Amino acid sequence: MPSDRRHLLHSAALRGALWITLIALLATGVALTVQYMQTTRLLEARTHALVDDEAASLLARYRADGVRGIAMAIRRQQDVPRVNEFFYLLATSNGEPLVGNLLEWPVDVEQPGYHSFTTKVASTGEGWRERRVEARAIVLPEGFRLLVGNLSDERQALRDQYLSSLVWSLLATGALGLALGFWYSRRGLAFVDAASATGESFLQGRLEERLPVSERGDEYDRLALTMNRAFEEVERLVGSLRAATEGLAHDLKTPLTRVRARLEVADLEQADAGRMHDVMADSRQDLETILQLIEDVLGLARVEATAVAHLAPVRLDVIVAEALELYDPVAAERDMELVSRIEPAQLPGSRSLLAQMVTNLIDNAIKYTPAGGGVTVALESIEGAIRLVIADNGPGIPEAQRAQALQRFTRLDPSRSQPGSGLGLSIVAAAARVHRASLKLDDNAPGLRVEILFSRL
Amino acid sequence: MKLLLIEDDRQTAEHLTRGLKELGHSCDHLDNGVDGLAGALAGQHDAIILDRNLPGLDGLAVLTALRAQGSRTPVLLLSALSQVDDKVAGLRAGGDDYLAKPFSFQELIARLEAIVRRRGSENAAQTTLQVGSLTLDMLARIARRDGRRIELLNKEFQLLEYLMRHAGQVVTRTMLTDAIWDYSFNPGTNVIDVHVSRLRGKIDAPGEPGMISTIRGAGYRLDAV
Repeated sequence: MPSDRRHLLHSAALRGALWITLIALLATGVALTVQYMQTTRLLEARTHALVDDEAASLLARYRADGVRGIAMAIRRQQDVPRVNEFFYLLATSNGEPLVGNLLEWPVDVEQPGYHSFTTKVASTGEGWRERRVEARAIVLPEGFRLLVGNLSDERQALRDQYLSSLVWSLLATGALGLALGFWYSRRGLAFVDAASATGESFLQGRLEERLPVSERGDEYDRLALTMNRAFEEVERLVGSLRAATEGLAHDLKTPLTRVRARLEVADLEQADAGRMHDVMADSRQDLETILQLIEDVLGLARVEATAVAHLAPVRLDVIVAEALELYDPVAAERDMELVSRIEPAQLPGSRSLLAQMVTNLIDNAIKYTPAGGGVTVALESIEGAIRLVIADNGPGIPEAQRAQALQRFTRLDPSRSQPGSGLGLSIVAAAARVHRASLKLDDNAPGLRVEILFSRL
Repeated sequence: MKLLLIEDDRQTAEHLTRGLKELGHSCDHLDNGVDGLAGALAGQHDAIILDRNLPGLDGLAVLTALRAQGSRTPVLLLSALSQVDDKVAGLRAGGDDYLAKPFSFQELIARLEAIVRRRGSENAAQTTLQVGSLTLDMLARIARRDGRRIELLNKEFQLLEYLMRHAGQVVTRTMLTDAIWDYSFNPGTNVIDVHVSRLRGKIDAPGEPGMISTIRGAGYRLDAV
């Protein structure tokens, strides 16, 4: 498909592959060039040493026997086969060859010193051959010129080899780099594609969508896990929002229906002032309930929106003590024992949320415990954690219903005989979540035991 | 009281204005921040009821500008936001009290009276409060009624002090949880009622007339008897 090809051309995978290839090419080129340069320098140094040596012995002959001495030495050397084949040329000051196995004085050699050139060299038996020569030119005191050199064909060969290996290496690196780079980048892109598709599908309402996580545990997996956690959180929030809306609608409808019915009946009856006053008082009571419910819902939303990052250290022991002081008279009035055991405890938290959590729990405990019963509040530091336990000896919550008790708008008491929005424990649960604390409901045999465990961060 | 209401929601404004007039207060209404600021600076009001979210100029900006111009008229902020931070921001900008929507009309009246009264009495650095035969020595932390000494726990003392400072006015439960316990939420059930009835039991000796009355649907009021 053309769109697919375009996708490929514009893909991060191709860009990634090209970069990888370019880097590999550069690295290969640099490595080969450095190696070539070092090798040629080594060869050159070796050649120069040999040539210098040879030239030195010829110059010694010159100092002893003059030009004739050199000519004789050159002739003798030419006749002796040697491992290191040298080239010599003794010429007049204007370049007329006198003796040597080079055919002519090279045109571009004017100055004394080392020169590299191609020239015709006499070879044994077969006449002349073009050879590459590295030679040192020396001007003798009488104006004669001397050229001493060595074959440098191997440098040429090395150069050819360098070029061909460079080409082949670069070709191989390029092909391999492109293939590997494309494969490697493709893997990242495949993940991004999968993530985009999943996110798109999630946005269209399939909240159960999750990214695949492999066994490798690499960065992609870490990212996938994080995104999946975010998806889960959104799904949980949407779910709880839905449940909350349904619960809220139900809990609002009941008192509102009552108010409407009361007003309609009063209208039909043409109620007198005294009757009207009762209707209004009852309606106001219902409206109070509704407002309190809305207040609690907003409170819960607020708790859930609190970010743990903004929490400063607070004294939980002080918060608990204040709550106990608040409820002490309430317990006393119900002839109830409110026992506490509090150790100093500090943790990063929100005073308002923690106070709400503690007062909700104590309030619940007192509310559901019959007169004459007891409520225990204990705060203690245990290894690496702070434990808050609030236990009563009321009717407790059957094990099967404990999870449900933490949901919003759940009132396990079907007669709804106790006042309240049924949000108390949800607010506690949300506040615990904000503080990364675990919340556990247990049997207090008899009664309910609520344990909140704050792990020290 | 002569009041100024700066509120953009027409229905809320209408309802509040009518209720306030019913109680014998006069109430001007402006529906945006710019006019509101001008009105607040021009008129001599006993108190201003200021909504936080206003078109034109935001409530906090109005308040900040008002205070910058040197106006000391008490301001009660109204807001649909009820986070502790919003409240703190409102008070820091120079608000005298903060009321989150939805609120009851009774609550609004009680708080208005409280802030107007507070302005009137804040200059006097009182060390002793007196309401009828009831005296409160704030330095020695001793309460007496007709010379009879009343033993009070710490919170009871604070509760009585608050009621005495607002003697003759209705004080709501929310005002008490706010002021005495510094809780921005409703602690539930009848906790405040229990504390007040305990306090009642201590200040009213058998046979003496009760000083703290319960106002149905609103709160409490302490009166000289």
